[in-house]
Amino acid sequence: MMKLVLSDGTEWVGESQGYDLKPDEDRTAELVFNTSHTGYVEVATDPSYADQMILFTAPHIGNYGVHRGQDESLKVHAQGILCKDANPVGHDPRSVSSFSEYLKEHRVPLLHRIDTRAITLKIREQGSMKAWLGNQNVPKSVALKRMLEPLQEHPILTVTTNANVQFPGRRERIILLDYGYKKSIVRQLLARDCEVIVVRATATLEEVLSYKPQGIVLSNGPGDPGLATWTIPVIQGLQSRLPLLGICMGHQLFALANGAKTFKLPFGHRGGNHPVRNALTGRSLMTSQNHSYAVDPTSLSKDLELTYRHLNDESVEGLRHKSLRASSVQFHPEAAPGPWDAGFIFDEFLAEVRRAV
Amino acid sequence: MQFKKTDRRRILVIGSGPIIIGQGAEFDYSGTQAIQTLKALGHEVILINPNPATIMTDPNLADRVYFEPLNLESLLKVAYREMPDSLLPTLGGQTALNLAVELAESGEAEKLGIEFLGTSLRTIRRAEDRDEFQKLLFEVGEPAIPGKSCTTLEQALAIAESLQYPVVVRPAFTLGGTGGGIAADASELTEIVNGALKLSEIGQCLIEKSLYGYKEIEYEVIRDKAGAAIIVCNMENFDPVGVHTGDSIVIAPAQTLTDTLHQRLRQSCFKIVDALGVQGGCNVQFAVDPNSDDYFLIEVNPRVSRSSALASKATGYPIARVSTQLALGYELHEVMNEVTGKTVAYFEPALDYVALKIPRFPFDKFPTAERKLSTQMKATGEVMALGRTYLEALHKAVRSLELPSYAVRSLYDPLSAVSESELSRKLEVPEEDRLFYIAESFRRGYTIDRVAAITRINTFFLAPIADSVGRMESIRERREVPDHELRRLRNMGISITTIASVSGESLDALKKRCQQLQLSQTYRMVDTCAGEFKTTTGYFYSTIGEQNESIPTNHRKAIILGSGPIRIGQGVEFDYSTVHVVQALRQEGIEAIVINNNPETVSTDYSCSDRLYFEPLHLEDVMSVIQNEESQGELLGVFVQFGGQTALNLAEPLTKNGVKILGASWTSIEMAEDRSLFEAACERAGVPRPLGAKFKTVEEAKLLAAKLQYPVILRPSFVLGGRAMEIAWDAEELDGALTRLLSQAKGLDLYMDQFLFGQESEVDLVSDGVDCLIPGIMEHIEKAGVHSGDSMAVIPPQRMTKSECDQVVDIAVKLTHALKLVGPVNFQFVSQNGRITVLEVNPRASRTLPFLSKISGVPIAQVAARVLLGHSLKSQGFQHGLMKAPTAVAVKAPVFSFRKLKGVEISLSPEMKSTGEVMGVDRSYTRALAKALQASGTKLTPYGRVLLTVSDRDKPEALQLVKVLSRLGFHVVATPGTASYLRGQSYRVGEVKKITDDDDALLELIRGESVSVVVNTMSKDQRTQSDGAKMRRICVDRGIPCFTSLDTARAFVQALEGSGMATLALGQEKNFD
Repeated sequence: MMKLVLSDGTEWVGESQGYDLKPDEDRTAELVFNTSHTGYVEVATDPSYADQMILFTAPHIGNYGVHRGQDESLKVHAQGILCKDANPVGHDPRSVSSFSEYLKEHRVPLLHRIDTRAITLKIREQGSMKAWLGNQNVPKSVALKRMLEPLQEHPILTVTTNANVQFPGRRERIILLDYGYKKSIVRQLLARDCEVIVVRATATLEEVLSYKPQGIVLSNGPGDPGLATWTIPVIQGLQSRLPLLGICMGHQLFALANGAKTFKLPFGHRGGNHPVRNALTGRSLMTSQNHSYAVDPTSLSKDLELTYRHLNDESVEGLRHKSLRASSVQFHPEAAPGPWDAGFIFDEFLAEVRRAV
Repeated sequence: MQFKKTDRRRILVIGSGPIIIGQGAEFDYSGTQAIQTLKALGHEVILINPNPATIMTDPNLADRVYFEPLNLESLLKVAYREMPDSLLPTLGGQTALNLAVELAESGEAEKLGIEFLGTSLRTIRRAEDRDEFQKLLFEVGEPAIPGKSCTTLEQALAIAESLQYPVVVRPAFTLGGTGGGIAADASELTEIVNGALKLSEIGQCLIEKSLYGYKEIEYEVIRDKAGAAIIVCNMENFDPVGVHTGDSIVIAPAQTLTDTLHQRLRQSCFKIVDALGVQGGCNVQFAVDPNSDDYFLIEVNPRVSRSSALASKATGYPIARVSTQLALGYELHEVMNEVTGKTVAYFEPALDYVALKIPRFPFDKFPTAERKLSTQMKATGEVMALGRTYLEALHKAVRSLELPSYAVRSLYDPLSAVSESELSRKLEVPEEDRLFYIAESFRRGYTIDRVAAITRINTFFLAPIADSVGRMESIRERREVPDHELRRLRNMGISITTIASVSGESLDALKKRCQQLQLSQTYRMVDTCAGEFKTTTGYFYSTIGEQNESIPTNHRKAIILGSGPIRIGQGVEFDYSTVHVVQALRQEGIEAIVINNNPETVSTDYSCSDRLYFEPLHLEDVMSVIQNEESQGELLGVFVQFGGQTALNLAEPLTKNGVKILGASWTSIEMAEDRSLFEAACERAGVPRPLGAKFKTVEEAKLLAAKLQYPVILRPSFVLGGRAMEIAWDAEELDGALTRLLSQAKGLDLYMDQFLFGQESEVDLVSDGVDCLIPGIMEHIEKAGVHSGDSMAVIPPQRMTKSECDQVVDIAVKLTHALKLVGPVNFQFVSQNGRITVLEVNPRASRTLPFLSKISGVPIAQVAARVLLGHSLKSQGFQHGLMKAPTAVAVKAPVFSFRKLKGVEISLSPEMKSTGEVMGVDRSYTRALAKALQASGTKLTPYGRVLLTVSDRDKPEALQLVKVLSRLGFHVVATPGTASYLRGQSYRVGEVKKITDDDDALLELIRGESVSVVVNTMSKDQRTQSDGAKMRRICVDRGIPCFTSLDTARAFVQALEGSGMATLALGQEKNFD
């Protein structure tokens, strides 16, 4: 039996599957919920979830196991997985491992047979909160104390690549600034014949430019964009020289680089059913999203134009620089998991790149 | 004229007509939503639908309702009378769609200046015509199932040869896959194709590669005119491809698809609806190879459907309502999501539960029917259950099925008597009860993989069953349930009742333990968004041990029990009454709380009531809801008299649990239902009833029959819809009947009564304990011996005398008082020699209640509900006694689904067989008859050959019929016995030999459609019976009217007579007679 303690003092006891925490082992992270029906492997391996625990609202997780190519990075970034009912077996002939075995390899605990909806409603009402996962016998006071320990460094720095990586392609060279990139962004660019170089988040403007790129993509990533201040001058230098596309964290940093402000949403947007609308054309899109922070629409400088809005809460979902070839989207055009409606964002970006060449 | 979406339109809506297999109550649900939406947007709505048992045809919904047959002529009559500017064809199922196509192709739509709203007819053609559809798939690069369409048998054989057997046959333009099937070889193909070509509206069918074993996945798509499209929900069939999705257990959302595959299928849907230009809802079906991500498109239905109703109920997203708005030109982002009230309809629901549907089949009524599930739908209805896990939903759905006592009812009833070979056949051949045999196979130690290999069902669905079976077997052995195990079993959704019966622990003790361990039912909300947004929708389902979201209000409230799945004998009529009670309560300012589990119906539309509990109508589940609701506010009580026998059967256990029943007390109900109590009551009231008594053995039966005198009627006690009733006219027939009955009704008491072969009639009344409101007397057209649900009926009576009507009223009132009945009561009578005898009393809203409500203008169920809330009839403005008859004549006709059910005997009997009904209204009886017959699908060909083959008993009566037929110019052909009798009476008749082993000229006559009507009454002689059955089956397949009661045949002739002209040479006027 494993226990979940939330920062408001509530406790939830359930069963673990896969990785069993040692008696003195625990996990502390921000608890968030994701409403996707499918794609638990993609979600769990998305580096944007670093320092977070994921609650899946879909009751059954692990149904089809883990297939090759579903991982969005080399490891499971989530600190823990919560769901109603986890499947110990992957019911698909192509499954290479069950999801809980996979989590075990990555030493990530999974807690199930708990009232996930009650926790979801709590987060909805009170906002996302810190959570502790550990042994049932550990007193609540210990768990609550653990939650007070601050993060050591910005989570982007814990997930960004150590060494720059190059993916060959026969056309334009695109730099993907890695704040915690998902493999699918690279896949999307490669599928469009680009050469992709993944560059560490701490790279200087000179280092990036030394690759002689033809376009820049700012990746997704974890944490508070407002604290990733070192990225701002780099982005400012890049946007004035090259076509640029920001995705998720990349979008927020792009907004900050152009004078806008970001703020934390009560519990963020996480799922595959987020409707956005193009403010200019009226076109609606169903998008995949995973973010806690959003750009404050009242803070947009005159340089920025709002391109997409969320249909549910009117939050900013896309921006464009009025005079530069730079734009950004809060949602994930690479999907994985989630709808493929927004794939054309890459086409639009590459059209810009190809026009520039 | 060009309309803006805000302009007021005059819109003609075509309903779906009678309930038949493949086209059920879901179209009342979607049609009602559509009409409500159109009205709310300020449009004028004209509805044509001859089905009285529907909410959509209620007078307060559409501006004008026409109960007319759904054929081009009637449609045009209505259209020219009303001159609508628009027509909405996509909400009345295939029937409405076909009629709309006919209207367009006739050129009349253009002459009338009617604009078709929503998805265009061209789109519908492209989706439904197989070749066109394949072309479309090719254009957009989506994979079609390899196959080709054909219009002849020769083509079919050639195509099958090139594809290799087995192949699937699908006729174009039919309902629920009528006439389709899987052929393993050329001879099977020949049989299926011959039928299929006939049944297709356009004489075309498709021969395609069989994808047996593939996963069957459905998507419900909505697209607006600007091209924005969303997926409301996807669904996965438990059974692999090969079983019609209407006959399959279905789970929503799909459980075994990876995200990549789901997104591929989602994209595929969008490509297709874009290419088709769908404007509204569309259902897309895929076959997916479980070993790769290869998939094929099975079919596309660009209209609301059974699946869209299921998806709406499973997600809370009202597809019909949204589709209607899109048809008017609104875009998805302009339409609100009414569940959240904050978000828009451009939204894909997220589910934090599993919805599971199980079909309900009519095989309990039709023991001889072919039960193998295939591409032709056979289910009459379905249940849905919601659970926090798949297994919880499965257990709740099984409880909701309310299977009859002689069937397997639980996954944990051991089927020890089933042989090993029978078990393996049951696993291999999909039949309606395969689920229970899967459980049995696990009990016998089959591995999950073995069962998966045989059934081709995904192990995701099998493993939890194996797990729960193993756990239940272990508690059966240990005779106890430790706490941790109890927690586990309860979380799987297994009822306390089942756990108690398997473990042997007392029910009360176990209930107490569950309470202590917090393993009682709590309620979760259906909110379309997995909890992401705060909602206030009153749509709930139970789970175990979670937080309770259904916090009862402080208001006055009442609970209405619905009628569960639609089955023969308990149809949509009972949902009609349920909804009416809800309406009455809401008008009274009392909170209306519905418990029901049928996803097709209006009563389970969460917007219909204040609170909806989508739950099994099982004592334990119902008690949980009651306990939750009575914990706060004032629960006035529970209505049990409006949800058919399902709800009524709960009266006794609820009363015993101390629940207040609103209406007749259990004592009164019991008095009406228990035979000896009823007899005593009749005697006290001085009301005559047929003599009869109970018996158990053959010997007792023979003695009894001698005493009562033939004919006699035999039946088991407590039956629904006349199941297993038999009439015996002599000792020989008695022997046969006893053999059948004693084998079927094991352990049940049997009754034998005098069979009074006379004029039947029935009455629905409302009693407030003092007065009785009788809105009308319904006179049956067929004499006693035909189940009232299958007989035609007319209001006002045409043949009954004043004295007979007076006796009916007198007896009804006397008995109502004697039994102390209040609320709705239904009486059935028979008349012999002018003397009325009561046959039965049903202390509840009946099947005929909607029909009588519609024609009398009295909303009977609402009036009854108000009575039960304490408003006397007088205070509601009603007088005691029989109301004045309406000026119009209304005829009710039954509708059967025999085409879908092979091996079923179609002749009318005391056992109910019809699935739906229609109503014909006109000023004269004969015209109302004609309309009712036409609306029921009976062709009224005014000329041709009539084949007559009647039993000796019926010959004198047949004479009258022949007389009229001859006068109308029909050529009568008869079998030798009948022919010589008629000739003896100096009628000119042709003769055709009886069927013998080497002479089937008679069958050829029908097969070749050389006869336009067949009249065939039964004799009990086995040989004649099986020959007759063959003949009747061909009639059904060829759509030739076949009457097995002379009374129905007479009605048919009267209808022809009243609406047609006789053909006679000059000088023969004397023959007019």
